[in-house]
Parts: sequence; structure tokens; C-alpha cells
Amino acid sequence: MKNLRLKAARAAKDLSQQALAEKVGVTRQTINGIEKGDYNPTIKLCLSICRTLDKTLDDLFWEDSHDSEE
Amino acid sequence: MNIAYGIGFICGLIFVVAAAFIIRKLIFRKKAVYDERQKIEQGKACKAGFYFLLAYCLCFGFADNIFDFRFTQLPIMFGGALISVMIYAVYCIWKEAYFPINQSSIKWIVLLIAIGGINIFVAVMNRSVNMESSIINGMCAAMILIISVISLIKLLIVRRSCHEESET
Repeated sequence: MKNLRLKAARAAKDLSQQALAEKVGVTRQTINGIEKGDYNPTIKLCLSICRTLDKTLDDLFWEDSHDSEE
Repeated sequence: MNIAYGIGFICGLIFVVAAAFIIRKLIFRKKAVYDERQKIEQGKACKAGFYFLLAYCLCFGFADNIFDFRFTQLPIMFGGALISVMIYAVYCIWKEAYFPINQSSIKWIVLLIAIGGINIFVAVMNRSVNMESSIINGMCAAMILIISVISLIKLLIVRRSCHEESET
């Protein structure tokens, strides 16, 4: 399941995948995998991403059938 | 009993350990850090390499009993180990799980190419002395150079996709 909210939040902060990955301490491929829905991050990584993007877990990672695309 | 070969092997081993220590302290000062996704992919790659080696050993054991291998068995068995290592490395490289986050992948690729070159040199030097060792060194060189080339290709693909992403 793609995570479009994460992509939107990242774009709102004008961050590339590489830039976000460096801030969070992971590879660009990891961020890419999360956005595409290919990789499920741990809660620790989710929190780190939320802190970096000034969002909550609900904002970025809570499953919502209206917002997320399958 | 070949004492000269044994002494040469031990000296070579000491040299390699010392060189690895120096390279670690001078070039790759930071301890390697991998993210959670990379560790998972490394685990999958390890499994793939292991099962390949298992299958290879079974097939070789079966074939050895059917066919009369005139050629020495050591390079064939070593070849299996090298291929399983290559499977691990190529899988990791393709999933961007081979190089640590906090270290330059270019430095690693240069080091790999240098090690491949050393193996080619040793293989050529050993041709007239010990054909078996020469073949094994040649196989090691081939494996290392293949890994280096795939790393470079992947690096170019990643840079291109980063550039395309920044343009959109």
C-alpha cells in the first residue's frame, strides 16, 4: 500500500528522498520503499520520520482507506 | 609436507590482517552503520547464498560419482564458495544494502578494484609455480571485479534516478 501522505509531507517540506533519508539516518532506497509500500518500517523509524517532518504517526502512517492507494 | 608454502601462507595472512587494520583506521574511520531495511536484505542475501552453496555441493557430490573428474576438485569447490559470495554481494548491491550509510561507496569500489588487481597479479605470478593456486586467484579476481562493475552500474542508476527525481 503506497504511502502518499508521507510523500506529500516530504514535498511540503521541500525535501528530496535523499535529503529526508540523510536527516532520518537511513538510505534513500528505504524512504523510497516506504513511499511505494514495498517496505514496512519499524515504529522507531516511523517516529524518526514524523519528528523530521513535524507530523504525528496518525498523520503519516495510520491506515485510512480514503487516503492510501492500494 | 611443504613448509615453505605454509610459511608463505602465514606471512600472507599476517600481511592481509595488518593491511585490513590499517585501511580500517586510515580510510574507513567510522564504524559501518546499516539501516533496518539493509539488515533485512542482507539476511535474505545470506540465505540465498547459503542455499545456493548447499545445492552446489550436492550437485557436485552427485556429479563426482557419475563422471570421472580429471580436473582437480579444489578449484571446482572453491568456485562454488565464490559464486555463493557473489550471489550475496550482487543481491545486496542491487537492493542498496551492501555499502554502509555512513561510508563512501566510491572508496569501497576503488578498494575492491585494487584487490582484484592484486589477485590478477598473484595469479599470473603463480602460473609457472602452482597452477591450482593461480586458477583460484584468477577466480577470486573475476568475482571481485564483477562485484565492482555491478556496484558502479548500480551507483550510476541511483544517481540518475536521484537526478530525475530532483527535476520533477
